[in-house]
Amino acid sequence: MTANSSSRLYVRKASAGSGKTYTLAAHYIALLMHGVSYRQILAVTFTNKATAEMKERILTYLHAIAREVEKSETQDFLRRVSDIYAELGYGKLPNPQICQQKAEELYKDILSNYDRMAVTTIDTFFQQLLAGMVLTLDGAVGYSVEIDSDMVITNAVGQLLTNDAQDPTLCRHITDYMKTRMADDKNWNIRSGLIAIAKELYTELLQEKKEQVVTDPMRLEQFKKGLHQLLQKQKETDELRALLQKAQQWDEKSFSRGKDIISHLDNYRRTLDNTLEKKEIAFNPFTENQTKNIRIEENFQSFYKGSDRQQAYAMMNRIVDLAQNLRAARLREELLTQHLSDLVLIQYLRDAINNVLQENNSRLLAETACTLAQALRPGDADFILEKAGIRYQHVMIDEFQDTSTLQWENFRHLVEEILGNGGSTLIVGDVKQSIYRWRNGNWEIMQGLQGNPSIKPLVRNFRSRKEIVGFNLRLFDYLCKKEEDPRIKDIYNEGFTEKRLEEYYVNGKHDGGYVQLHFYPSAYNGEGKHQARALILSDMFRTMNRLLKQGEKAGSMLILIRNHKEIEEILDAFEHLPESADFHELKQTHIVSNDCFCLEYSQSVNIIIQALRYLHNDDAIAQEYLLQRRPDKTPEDLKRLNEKDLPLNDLVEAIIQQYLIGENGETDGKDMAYLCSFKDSLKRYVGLHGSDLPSFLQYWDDKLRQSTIPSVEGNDIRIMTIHASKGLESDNLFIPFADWKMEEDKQNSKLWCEVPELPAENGQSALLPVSKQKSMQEAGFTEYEQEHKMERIDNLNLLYVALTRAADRLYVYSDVESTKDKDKDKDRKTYHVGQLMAEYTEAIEPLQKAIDSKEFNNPANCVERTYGQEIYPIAPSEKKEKISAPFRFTKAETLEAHYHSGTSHITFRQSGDARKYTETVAENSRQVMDRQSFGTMCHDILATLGLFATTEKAIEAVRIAVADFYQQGKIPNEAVRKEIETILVRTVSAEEMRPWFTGDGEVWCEQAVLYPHPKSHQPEERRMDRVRINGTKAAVLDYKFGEEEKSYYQQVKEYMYILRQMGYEHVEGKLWIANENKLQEVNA
Amino acid sequence: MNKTFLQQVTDQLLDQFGWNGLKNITIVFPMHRAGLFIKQALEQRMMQESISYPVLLPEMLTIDELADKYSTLRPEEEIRAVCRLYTCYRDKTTTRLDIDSFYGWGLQLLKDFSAADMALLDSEKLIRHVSEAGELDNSGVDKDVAERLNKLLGNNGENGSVRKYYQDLWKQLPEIYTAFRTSQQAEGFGTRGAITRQVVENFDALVKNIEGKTFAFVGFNYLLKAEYALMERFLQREQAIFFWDYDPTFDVDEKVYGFIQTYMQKFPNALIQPNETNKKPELNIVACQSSEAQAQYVHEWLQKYHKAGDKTAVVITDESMLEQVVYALPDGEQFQKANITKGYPLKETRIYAAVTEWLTQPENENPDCIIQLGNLIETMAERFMPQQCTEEENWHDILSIEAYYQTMTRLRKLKTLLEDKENVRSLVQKPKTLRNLVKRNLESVLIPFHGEPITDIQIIGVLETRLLDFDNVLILNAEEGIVPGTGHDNSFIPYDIRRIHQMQTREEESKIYAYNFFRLLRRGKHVTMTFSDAFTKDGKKSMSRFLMQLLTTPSYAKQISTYRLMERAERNAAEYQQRESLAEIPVSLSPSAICDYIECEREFYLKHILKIQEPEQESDMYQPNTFGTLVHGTLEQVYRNITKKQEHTPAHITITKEDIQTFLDDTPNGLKNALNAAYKEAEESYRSHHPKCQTTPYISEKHEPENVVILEMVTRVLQRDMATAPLTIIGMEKWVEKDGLHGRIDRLDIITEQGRNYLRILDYKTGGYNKEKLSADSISTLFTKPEKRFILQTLLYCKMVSDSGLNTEELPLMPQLLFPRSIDGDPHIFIDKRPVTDYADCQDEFESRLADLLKEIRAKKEFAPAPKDKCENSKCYCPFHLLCGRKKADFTF
Repeated sequence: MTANSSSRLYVRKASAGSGKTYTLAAHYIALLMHGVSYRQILAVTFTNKATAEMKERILTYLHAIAREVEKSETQDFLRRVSDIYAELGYGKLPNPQICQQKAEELYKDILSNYDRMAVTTIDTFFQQLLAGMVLTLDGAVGYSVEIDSDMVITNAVGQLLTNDAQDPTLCRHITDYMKTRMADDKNWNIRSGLIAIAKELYTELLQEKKEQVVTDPMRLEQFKKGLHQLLQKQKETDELRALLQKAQQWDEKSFSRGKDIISHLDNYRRTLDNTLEKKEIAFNPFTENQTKNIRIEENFQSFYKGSDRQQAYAMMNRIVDLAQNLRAARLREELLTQHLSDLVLIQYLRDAINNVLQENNSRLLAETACTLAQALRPGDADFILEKAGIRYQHVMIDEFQDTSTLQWENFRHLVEEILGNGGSTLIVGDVKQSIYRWRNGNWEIMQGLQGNPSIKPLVRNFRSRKEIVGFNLRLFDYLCKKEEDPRIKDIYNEGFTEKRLEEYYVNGKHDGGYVQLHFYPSAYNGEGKHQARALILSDMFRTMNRLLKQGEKAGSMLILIRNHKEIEEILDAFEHLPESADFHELKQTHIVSNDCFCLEYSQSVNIIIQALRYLHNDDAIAQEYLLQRRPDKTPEDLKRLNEKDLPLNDLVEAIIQQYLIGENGETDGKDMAYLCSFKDSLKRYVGLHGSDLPSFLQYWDDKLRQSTIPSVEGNDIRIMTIHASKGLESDNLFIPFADWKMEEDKQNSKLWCEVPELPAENGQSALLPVSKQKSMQEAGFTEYEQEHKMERIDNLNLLYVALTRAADRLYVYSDVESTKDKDKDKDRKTYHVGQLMAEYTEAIEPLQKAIDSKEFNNPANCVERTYGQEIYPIAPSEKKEKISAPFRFTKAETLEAHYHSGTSHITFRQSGDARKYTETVAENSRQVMDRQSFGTMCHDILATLGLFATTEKAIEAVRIAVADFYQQGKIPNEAVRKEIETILVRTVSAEEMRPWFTGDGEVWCEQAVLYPHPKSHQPEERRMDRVRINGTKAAVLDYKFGEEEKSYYQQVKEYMYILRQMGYEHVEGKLWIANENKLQEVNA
Repeated sequence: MNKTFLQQVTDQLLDQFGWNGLKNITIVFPMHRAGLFIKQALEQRMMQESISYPVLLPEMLTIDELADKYSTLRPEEEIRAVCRLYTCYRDKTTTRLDIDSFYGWGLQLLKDFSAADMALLDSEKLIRHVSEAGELDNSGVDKDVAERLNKLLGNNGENGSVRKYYQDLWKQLPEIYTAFRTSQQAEGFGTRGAITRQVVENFDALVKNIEGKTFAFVGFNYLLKAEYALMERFLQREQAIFFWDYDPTFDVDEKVYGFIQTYMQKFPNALIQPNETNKKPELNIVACQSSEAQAQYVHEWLQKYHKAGDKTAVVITDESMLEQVVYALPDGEQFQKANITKGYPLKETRIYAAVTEWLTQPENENPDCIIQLGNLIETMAERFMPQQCTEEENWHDILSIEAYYQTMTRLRKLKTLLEDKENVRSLVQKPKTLRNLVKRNLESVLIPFHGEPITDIQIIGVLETRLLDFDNVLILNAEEGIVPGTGHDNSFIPYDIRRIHQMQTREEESKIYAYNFFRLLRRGKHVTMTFSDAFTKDGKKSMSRFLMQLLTTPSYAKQISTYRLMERAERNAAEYQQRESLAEIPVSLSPSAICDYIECEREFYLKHILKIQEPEQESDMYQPNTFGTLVHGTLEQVYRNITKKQEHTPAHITITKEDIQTFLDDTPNGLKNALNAAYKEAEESYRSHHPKCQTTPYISEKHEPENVVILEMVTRVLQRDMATAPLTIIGMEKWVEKDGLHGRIDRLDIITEQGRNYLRILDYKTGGYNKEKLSADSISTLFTKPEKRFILQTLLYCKMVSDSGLNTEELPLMPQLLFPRSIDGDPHIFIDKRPVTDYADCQDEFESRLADLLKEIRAKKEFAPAPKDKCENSKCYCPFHLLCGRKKADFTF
């Protein structure tokens, strides 16, 4: 952003605990108080969860100002609003009474138009913009939004492999792809491989640089050849060959350890050809140490005995240079060619995905930002906003460090426009808490604002107590000093001083606090790891129990984990806590989680799935599973359920009834939350994709089994991943496994690298996927090192986020491996965060001893470090006062949920048409027309006819009415249509029928009459086909389209009776027998 | 008992017009069902007053039917209208859109056109308004808005920009509209808006012969402009009276739905409010986690509140909840009379699934779309033709008849359209287009359920509650985004213009919703609302704004009780229990059974004692074992071919390098034929094992890429054989059974290595080559480390061969493993870093350890699972993970 536009740009670097949401809400309310409409403020948050939180907070604060202005918390808040008000240049905030009034009005107004409050995630916002211009993009984008891109991808890959693969060219490419996987020890079921590639297409990098991805098989083939030729033609190889030739003449005696050197050279010469023929990767001729010595002239001189020292030195160095170049080139070739067959398939995948989308007329949520970026040409930004009917004057962005490049690309148009028009922009974020790089978050955008005069750091920590603030400050001060990457120092530019600490925590109110670190020995080869983890969990649970005894609430404890896999280990340990006084209180509590409990943990859900699986393909494992759970049920019982070919929802319900409902008509209720969540998901699935069992089972395997169940916070111990914990806090925080690596090359991870050797269509270097591995460095890919540097920042940030969640007490546990290696500096790179902390607290030396002793399961070998006092008298009054939401359900009475399922005797009526015409419809295949429904239809058509001036007009009306019925799909086919038309035209055109359809006067067509039955006196309803009224005269007509029957006359007689009862003096009755084309007189 | 609104209306009508006057009244409602209640109220009065003569019921219409009655136009079928619009659109623009891509927003455009007519809007003016900014200034539009619109639609778009594109289209809109309207009217059709508008604008000419009639407009809330005008016209003729259901003392917030007060000034309320004390209902709010729990809560709620004879409503705000609620209903006499009045999504029915499935089968693609559609209709009729309705209809049967009927009529509509209109048919050339049209036509259909409205429990949608009163009300999913529903501003007409011209926007939608919602509260005695506030994958849910309003309106907040429904989340995992009666350990064990035992005793128990087999997975790609079967089969066929022997064991025929080369060169289709023969055998064997199965997984045509890979692997084996040749084949896929061991040996052959002859025991492994798997430190490790199973297996084969006398020439037995995927992996196995070239070298140790193991197995009673960490670390995917209650390993490649 340009400097002059920054006058009303406010950037807040908000460290953890500094009250970010509070500040945003205060900013928002300051704008409202100035008279800005909430419709003109756009507040963008990072997640849906944050959006909900933000909206609720704004309402809560408004409510507090409106109705609880006298409370001190409200006063505090108003002071913050007042500061911002002044900062925005609005002068002095109006007095509390006026604020109170305004807040009351605003509260009501916002509530009645709640969805107009533009607090939203950036994705949703873009989505709204895009929805407004679907048509404008000329059908390039679909009409509805598909959120689940995985589902689309799975479908597309399925299509590609079955239907599309019959195309010979594609088949060849798939085969090539399979063959490359054959060479590696990989599974040849390429389905998941293709799914993985397809998923990558939706990373931002590849969407943004789509044109740099070369997929043309011819060009890739050429490139592959070219790469090798490049290698062979190198002048350098000739030179190397010559030099090696020459080196053969060296005498062993010329070197002090000559045999080694000479044999290395010999060896190298022999393998050189293999390398050049691409059979294997070249090795360096010398060991690392040797190379070092060759490089340094003095060292070389000391072990070279020959006379031509200068020459030999030069020659050896040249050989080393050339060999390294060759190796680099060879590695590069190897790395670059690994995934070429993936690339060829990319185009096919894209097409297949687009096909699927087109069929469903939808577009992917994942593509929103990119589509928008392409549409947003200069001058279009304001148009698109206008089109969406919105005009923002103020914008606020939360978690700015997690904004992606594309998102910002789109968003800055808006920001610039707003600033240009005199509006304001508030950006809040903290690069230290940037942990979403994997979701395209790019903290460099925020860091790029560094030096902008509008930046103001928010550092005071309203969350943590002094010891915790101090520990974190010192720890990160130490860690940053040890890091090489200067960016880390920039990000964590705080440093530790006593003065700073005083500045950072809330003096007086937030004294005390406690930090406890536990390190457990384990060896480099993984020995002792299991014991360490078991010890960690039992120590952690013991501590929790101790705190519970001291009166801490279970709800004040939070366990943070690095990844989902750790949850089961923790739950297992929790469920198997031994009977001991050490865990007595803990055993009364529960662990809840919002993002960790997967559906597949639940027995009830598994029973349903296994039953479905058994019904689907007689799965014997499923059968055994069911037999284990319910030995009283036989497979035949299950088979019987599906005899009716039930829709999926009903089938599941039937399974629940058979397997889960007990004699009391309920399930046992223990895993109610899982069961309910499963049914919600099932419902959503069926709603989106229909009632298809095999694809649902596939969906279960691919995705659903790992989807997590929601939970509501009560007074339970919470557990969650660090990523989900952002913005949250807890009085007592536990990090049981602080052992994530700072850098890591995960198997199967790829980096997309710029490859100048291959120009893309647009002239830029192509982007190629390269397996992420160490040799990339030697092969000259700078991306590797960059990535590793970024990983260090990610993982450091993750530690920062984790440690700063704690308010009162912080417990960290880690197993620590041996660090015996000599080369300490190099080794430090492989440290995990626990080791870094151990290093900081100087716990490594004592741990080393324990590792040497190999007594891994001895608790005495654990090293503990503490700061502050665990028991610090925290008076309730010292606890932070917060403004509470008026509509929170925290104090609600609890009811236990039960699951029932029955066969209900529900009734409903069929829509008139279906009942009347289903028989007709059914006849379609039998080619016979049922008289009754045929008649019903004729009746219905005639009922639409009023009176006409002439018979011709009446005939025309009949034709139109029949055509309408036909077009509505009510008449099965053309033949029937003709038949009906003929008979009805005959009806209205018959000479004696004319008076019924033409002329003036009153006519009732199937008008209802309430008729008190002469005997029962119960009112009954009668509908007469056609009645003509003329003063005191009434005539009734009944049509019949079947054979003549006696009862018909009775019916007409009753009608005539009714008409007379109604007071008509002259009543006549007629019966039209359509088949015979005759009108019968009915006599009373 | 308090009278319901419709009873009040009935009473007043009778008081005013008398029984005989009814026939001169036309009652106009916002919805159809209200008529039933008027009828019921009249019947009650009839009984009370002992009326003995028949009475002609008043005419009862919805406002749309009222317009239809007097208009010369009639509504057009949706699909026809969209096709008509598409033709106009295509003629006026340079679009590249297909009809099926157009369909979705064609519907939108139709809605926009209809809405413009409903707003009595001059479409020409719509455009002029904004292209000439001056006009807007004069029309009293806010300057700010005018400027905004000018920016939006004014002439300043650059070429090629989105703006330009939109503006061009916008300018064409009146033309498209005119063309569409003209074309529609020529055939006597109109949109809903156009029909109402026609009556409003030609009121005097169209609305005739109504002398002496009175039009009673009952229970309306928000009025569209044309509806308002229509009422105004009737009022001008002094032939209209109005009944509003509005209680000014019911004070949530006048902002929510105060619009009715404005209407009441224009159309005075004929309803005489009964003198009620300001009674307020008992209100409960229940927070839940899931939707399902809310459905389940219906059960308890009904038991608590519903008594026989009460009018009780379970209001379903999220239509997909219907089924869950129905299943959760309690049994018992007083709950038997439950009625559904709610749309049910066709998409969730079996017939919908069947239609979509039919459409995606390539064999159902027919170039002539009418034939295709006809076939579809026939197929569906055959499959889903309703059974003769039984005496006791259950609601599933009725539902399927309804679903069937809806589907069939929709399909027929499309078919008649294609037959009628040559131009439409020409648009639908490709099967894909037809497929999408069918889908678009069916996917949003709601099957209308009409409950018997007079009886006890109503399971009902919010809209369907209009005009009705209930004693007990349970409102489900009172969540923001559902109550009120997420309005959207999807419209081609800019928001500001819609505002200026009083077209309905989402603000009004939520006001209408609010009116309906609070009306239920006002007229109820017990009202309970449930909502979910859990974090889910789709974001956080939160309570409806209406609940927030109630909770923070002091006069209500006091009488609200709040509850939270707790759903327990215990995993209740159970350990696997071995069956009490232990089935027999088989007399003879295969090498893989022995390996499985070493890997995990429980796996051995399940696989080899209980004989539980993993089912064949249907997949887009072959599973590894299928691959293996075919590779083995093909190799067998190849050698049968080379040796010209058709028996299973082409014994003792020496094959030279040239033999193989000749096979590869001379018979270009040799490999393919061998593969086909292998397919045939695999299929036969599959059928004999799965007599019930209709299909086999072995369909060559569907797996072309795999076939290529299989042949590639076979070729690699042949090439390696050429390098080894000459070789003498003793047996292929040779079955050996001896002393409690049995197995099938892939190949037995005699080869020469460094001048010495060996009897080679060869096993193919279609997995990836890995030297680690072929080398072990010692014989004893084979019996403890499951990852060395390949070595153990081949040594077991060696033992069987040597025991069963197959080694007639007494050659050294050399075990080897060939990996068809690898070109040059060393096939030897290594013990203590030395290749095993003669089984005799390790025979003693191996066999004595084997004997110990077999003894152990035979004595076993309890089969324990492998320790957890070992099981998790194992790279292989275990099909039995679920039975052990262990997590499925994340199977990454």
